Amino acid sequence: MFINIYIYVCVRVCVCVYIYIYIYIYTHVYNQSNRIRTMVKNEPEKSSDRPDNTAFTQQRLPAWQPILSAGIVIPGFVLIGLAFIGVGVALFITSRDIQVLELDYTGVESSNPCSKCTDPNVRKCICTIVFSLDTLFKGPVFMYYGLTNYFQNQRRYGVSRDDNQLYGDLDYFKSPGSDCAPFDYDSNDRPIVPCGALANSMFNGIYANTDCHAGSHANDSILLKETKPLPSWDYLDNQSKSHSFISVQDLSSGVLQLHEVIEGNYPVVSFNGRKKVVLSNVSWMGGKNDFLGIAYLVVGSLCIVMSIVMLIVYAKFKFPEDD
Amino acid sequence: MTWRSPLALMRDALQGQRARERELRNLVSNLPYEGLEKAKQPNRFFPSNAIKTTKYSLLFFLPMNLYEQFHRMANLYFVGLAILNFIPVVNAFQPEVGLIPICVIMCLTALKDAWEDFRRYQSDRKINSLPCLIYSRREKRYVERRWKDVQVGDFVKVLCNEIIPADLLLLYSSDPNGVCHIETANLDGETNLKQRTVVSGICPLNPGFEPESFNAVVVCEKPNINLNHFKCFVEKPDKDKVGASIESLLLRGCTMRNTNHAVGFVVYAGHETKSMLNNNGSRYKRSKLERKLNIDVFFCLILLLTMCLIGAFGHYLWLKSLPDVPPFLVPDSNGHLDDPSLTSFYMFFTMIILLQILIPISLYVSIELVKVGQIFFITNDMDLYDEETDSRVQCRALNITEDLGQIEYVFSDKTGTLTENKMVFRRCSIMGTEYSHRENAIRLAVLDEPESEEEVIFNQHQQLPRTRWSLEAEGISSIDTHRHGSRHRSKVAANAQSDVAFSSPLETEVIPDQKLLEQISRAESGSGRRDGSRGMDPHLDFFLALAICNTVVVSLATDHRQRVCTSAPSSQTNNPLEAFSNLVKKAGTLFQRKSNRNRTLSEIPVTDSSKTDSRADSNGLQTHSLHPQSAALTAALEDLCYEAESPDEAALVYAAKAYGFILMARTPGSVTVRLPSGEELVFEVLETLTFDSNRKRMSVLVRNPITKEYVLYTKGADYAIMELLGTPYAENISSIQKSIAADTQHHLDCYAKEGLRTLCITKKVVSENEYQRWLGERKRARAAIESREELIMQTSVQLETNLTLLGATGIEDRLQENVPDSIMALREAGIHVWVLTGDKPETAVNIGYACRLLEEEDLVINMSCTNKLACTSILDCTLEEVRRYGEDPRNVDTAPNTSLVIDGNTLAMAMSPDLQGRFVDLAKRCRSVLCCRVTPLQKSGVVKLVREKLKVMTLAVGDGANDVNMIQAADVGIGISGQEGMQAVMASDFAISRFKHLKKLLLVHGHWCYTRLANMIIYFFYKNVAYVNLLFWYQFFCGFSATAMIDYWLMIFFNLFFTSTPPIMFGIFDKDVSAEVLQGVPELYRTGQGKGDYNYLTFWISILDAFYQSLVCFFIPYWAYQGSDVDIFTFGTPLNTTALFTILLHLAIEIKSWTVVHWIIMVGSVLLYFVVTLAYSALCVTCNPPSNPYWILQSQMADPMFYLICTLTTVVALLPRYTFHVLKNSVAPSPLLQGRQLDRMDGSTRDQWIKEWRGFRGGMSVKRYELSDPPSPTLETPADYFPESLTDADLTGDDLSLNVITRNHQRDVPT
Repeated sequence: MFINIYIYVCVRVCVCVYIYIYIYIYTHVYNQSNRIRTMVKNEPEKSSDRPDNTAFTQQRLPAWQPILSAGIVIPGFVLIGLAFIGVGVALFITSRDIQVLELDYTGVESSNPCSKCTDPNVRKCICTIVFSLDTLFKGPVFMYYGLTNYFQNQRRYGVSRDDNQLYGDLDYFKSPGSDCAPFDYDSNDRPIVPCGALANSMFNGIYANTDCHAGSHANDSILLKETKPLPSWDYLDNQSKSHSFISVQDLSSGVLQLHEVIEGNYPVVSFNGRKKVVLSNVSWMGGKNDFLGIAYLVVGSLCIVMSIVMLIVYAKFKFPEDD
Repeated sequence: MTWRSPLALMRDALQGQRARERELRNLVSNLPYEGLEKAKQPNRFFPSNAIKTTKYSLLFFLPMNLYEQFHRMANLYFVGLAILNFIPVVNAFQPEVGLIPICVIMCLTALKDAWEDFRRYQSDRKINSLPCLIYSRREKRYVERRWKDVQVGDFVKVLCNEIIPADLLLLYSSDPNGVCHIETANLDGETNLKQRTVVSGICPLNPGFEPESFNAVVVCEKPNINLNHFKCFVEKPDKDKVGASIESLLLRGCTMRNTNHAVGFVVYAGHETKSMLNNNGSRYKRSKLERKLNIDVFFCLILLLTMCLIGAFGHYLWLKSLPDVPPFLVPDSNGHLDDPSLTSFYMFFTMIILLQILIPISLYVSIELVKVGQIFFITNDMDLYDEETDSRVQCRALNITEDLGQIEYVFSDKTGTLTENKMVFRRCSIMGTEYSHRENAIRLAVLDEPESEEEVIFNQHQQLPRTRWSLEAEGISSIDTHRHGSRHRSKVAANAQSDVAFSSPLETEVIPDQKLLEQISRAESGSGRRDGSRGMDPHLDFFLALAICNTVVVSLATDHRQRVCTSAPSSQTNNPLEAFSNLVKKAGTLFQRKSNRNRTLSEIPVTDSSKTDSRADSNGLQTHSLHPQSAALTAALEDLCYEAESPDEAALVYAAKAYGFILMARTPGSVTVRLPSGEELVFEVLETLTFDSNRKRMSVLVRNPITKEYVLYTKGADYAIMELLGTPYAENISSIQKSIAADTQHHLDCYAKEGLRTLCITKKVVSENEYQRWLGERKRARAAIESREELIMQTSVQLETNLTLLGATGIEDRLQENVPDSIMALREAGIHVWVLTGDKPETAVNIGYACRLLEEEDLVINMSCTNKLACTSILDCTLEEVRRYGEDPRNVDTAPNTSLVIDGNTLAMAMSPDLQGRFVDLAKRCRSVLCCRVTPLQKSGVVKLVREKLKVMTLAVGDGANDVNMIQAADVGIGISGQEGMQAVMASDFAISRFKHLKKLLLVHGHWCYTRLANMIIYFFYKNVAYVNLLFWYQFFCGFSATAMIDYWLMIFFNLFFTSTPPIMFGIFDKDVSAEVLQGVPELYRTGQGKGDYNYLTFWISILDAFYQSLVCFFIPYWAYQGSDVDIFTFGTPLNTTALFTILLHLAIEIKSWTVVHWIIMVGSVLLYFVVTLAYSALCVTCNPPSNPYWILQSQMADPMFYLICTLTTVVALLPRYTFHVLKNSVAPSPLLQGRQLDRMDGSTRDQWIKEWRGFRGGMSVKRYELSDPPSPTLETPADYFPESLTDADLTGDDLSLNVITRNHQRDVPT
């Protein structure tokens, strides 16, 4: 409520400032255009109509007038180019050092040990994936759930929740907001908490690490609370960040056994999705992403090339003012 | 009020409607009905005098304003979308959110409208409550009431200097002659007094007027807009009808002058008065840019629909591609999903709502704001301010500022527009003998010198070295002092009394020609000898005609003061007093100046001995021969003040005065003329046949008090007079009459070649019988109410036959300052300049050369033919010739300048439907066209023809009522508030006071306004497309489900606040090239002509750029965040931020000059974005469910990735545009860029450059119309009068020439 009022006030203040400026300028113009219209000369002492001779009204404010030309921009291009190449190299190296291991357990392929779990008739399915690491994973190593093609950002799905309820407002526990429909009341007309389509689709894979140096760790079902911007994403379990990483120690090799409870068997076939477990360590720039580094390198080089082009252009088409 | 049945009310309303619609109205006095209820009032159907110019009322403001606003398609569109958002199946946002933008915009507009209306309301209230005197029967006297209480049928008494509250039929005037004077300055700006006479025979003059005794019926026509015509008659109880015309109508809004009091009968009140009918407020014109803009908005609409279709279709495909029902498809309340095709149909509309801002909602409001700002700067320009009249440029049409930058054709009036319209008598020809008035010419030539000396004297204390300059000024005085002189003189004039034309004696004085003076004294003594036939000498007759044949009102200078101070009316609080004190002050300064001048003359006789001597000589002579009377009388004569409707008349009267024929007084029935002998003759004026543009002449029929003859004096245009010449002047000279006509014609031609305005003066003696017969017809014509005008004109024509030629006069109308320079600049700017004038071809051609419309090296085509066949063949030949001339390889470099001179008759033929194509083709190839002897209707016809056939932007500039048609026909109409009243100004879009202002108005303000607005509009389109496309690209990754990755509020803020001010600032303040360079290099103006900056190419390029930038802005963050675990708004925030930076920096590339304002607004916008977004994401937890932007930006700003992504994206997005600009500027710099480079140079280098630039196209130094001694009318080519003496060598040399002064002056102004 407070926020609404605040925003309202903000808008009003801005509008008022606008109107004030408008009116101020308009008064001058209005007076001008109306001078003829006025039927009665009621101010004979009207002082001279001479305009104000100020730099502002005469449009003579001191101004900086840059002219973009080849000669001027060369240093700029070189600087940007060098800076970008530097940043690009740093990013690229950082990204290269991040190690990622993806374990797909969708089970679409029959060779996958989890293929037996794709059968919807199987109530409880436990499959085991064995993996091995060639190199040492520097700690901390995080485990992510990966899900592809899951359009959580579908508009109706994304908005089908009640923030007030999630915020803890008890009133909304009793009467969930209309956004949640049709997942607001159950068949017995009891309110659903948390309500909405988002809460309805609970990702409920349970993983257990059976053979690992770091010991085992089980995880609860998670609520897909946050809307993901893109249909394919990794999910770092935020709720339990402290124990979501597998180990603070280096991870060299091991076998990860995955158990899946069949009641919560998360169906991904309906949207051609894939389920993954991702093991990765992170850097200051987050997870592994080569794109940014490469982009910086490319753009930086482009700038250098451009500066050379500019140099040629400059040599060919000198400005008269330059000589 | 008593209750009346609705039926009666309706009957009454119908009756009232009928009464108002009737052609003739019968009005009776209200007095017998005073105090009765409204239903009994005879004049109850006619509106009262209360006026209401407001559009809205308090109660109905909201609905009416909304109705008004919804006339705009754009508003309807946005409201429609907002409503669409309320439909659950298609909504994209929360319903209320969609309403915000349109509400803000409409509130803004409504507030503006309300405020405007409130101003109108206030002014209405003020006017309505002005006091006035209405006769009351109950109190038997005039009681003070308010203006709004005045009813049709009332008797209103108006005191001196009061403003007339309604249109009154003048019944009584305190003046014994039954006249009163009104000043119509409020109405049409004409400051001369107009005489009104009481309706004769209605009321007894002597005992004073008794309203109660008035029992006649006033029959008048339906109210109409024509200020100069009024038809009415008064039917007395005995059925006798007395006609009354505009001569007896006091118009609302005029000021009563010179008369103690007058009583009038209200015929029209309130909105039916002529002044209110004429007052139709500011005009709405749609500019060319705006028309084009609408097409582009339409393109955007198509783009939008395409995008929405893609969205809908994509959604369909996406749904189809799903193998099963995934958990993220939300079913409806019944638990089942809609058909994909239906869902995608809904999706189409949802997409429209989501992407609606592709149509720039704030564009229209922004354009309005920008135009207001532009007008502010135009009206505040010091260079467009005229000291003399204390007037700035006025922008009457508020929305066509940018059209000023695209003009291709300028149509100009001549008299009063190019010239001063201040007439100076130069020479005359009497009975075939030419009197060249050489002394007078010399006086005029040196007229300015005393002032310049005076100025030197004034400045001597501070600036001693300048005396030397004044000593040397001898040889060059006529050139270099012109500027100072005219300026100074105008100051004097303005000081003396700016209201009255010709208050400065310097301009009105005429030094008589020696020869003519002798001739007159001979004639006088001769006539004295032959008693009784005094009027017979043609020389005397000639001057009598000059003194009599006019409508000049004589007032004593003392009268003015009296007029102001006699009665300080209660209505106008202490205004008159102040006016009086002002006047006294002014008079004081004038006196001081005069004495100064005298002192100057006496102090430095050495400097200017010859001229001073000649002055003294001529003055002495004048006094000696003409005014032998006492000095006191001479002084009294000096006080005579002539107020003429046209400056020509005043010039002639002053000329007559110089020869001793002094017009002493004029009443409706008589003219008093003082002869050189000192005798005062009172001529009885029997009839005045006023001037009209069909007859082109005016006549006065008087009775000579000595000979008792009826004499008709006629003056008019030579071609109108020459064909009316009849019987010879007198029997004894009959043989030479023909040769007189021939000689006079020859002189007239010579005058015309000199550029003088010519008038012929004739006389006719009418016999008693003839007069009586004619009088009868005249009376009949007057009483007629149908086609009275034609009848009266017919009778006039009947009398004006068989005229005897007395002589002709040549009056000079000087060019306004800087006219040649301005016309030259306009021509260099690629503007075709046409001058349309009513003058003779010779006069016009001469002026054409003088004002550099025509050049000596030009190929001037003269077209004048009598029949259509000839016209066709000439047109064909000329066209062929011009084509050949244009294609001739020898002329390619020298840019063939072809000019066309065409006269009115030929023009009429050339404009006929079958020839107009060829004519326009010819005109298109001519750089300048001069049309002579054209009628006002032809003027507008030409403008319309060119405008429609060539599809070009036209501008018409004029100062008089005859230019109104033309001004209204053109795309841009400019009125010059000059000597001829305000009618042109009232019809115009812009009003300037001097022609030279046109140069800066077009070349500088026009260019600026156009480029600013064009760039702003292009930018606006770009901005919206770029931003909306971000949302569009995201649709490919959310199953085309119309999800936005940016918080709705931030999205709205983005358009409404973060990025709206910079383009408006850009549209108001950006300055691509400085005013000095734009004026120095008029070529730069061409960038706006034709297609200009804002064309399809630039539009689509910017749209493509927008697509590119949005792709970059979307996909770089996309790839950077791909596969990571960020949430939707964390992804959207860098997108929004980069979009902001890209959009603002894009503008920064476009901004040509950065002032403080630019920096503040650009930096302010970025700061505003961060402050608002940070505050919003800090405070908004659940304020805008279901989106939750809580702490997003904060956490993003703590992440280095955010900055890396933003930097990279912005650089990549702007790199192409930046590079393009750089390369284009380096490889193929545009003229504008070269102009900007000139700006960076220091003053002298720049001038050198400009000179070189202009000189490159061949001697463009400004030639001047020189006030040389008028050569005797022998055959000299007009070119010789205007020597091209000023070459570049002269400019840089030691000689002081005008060009140097002009340059210095120009440089002084802007620095």
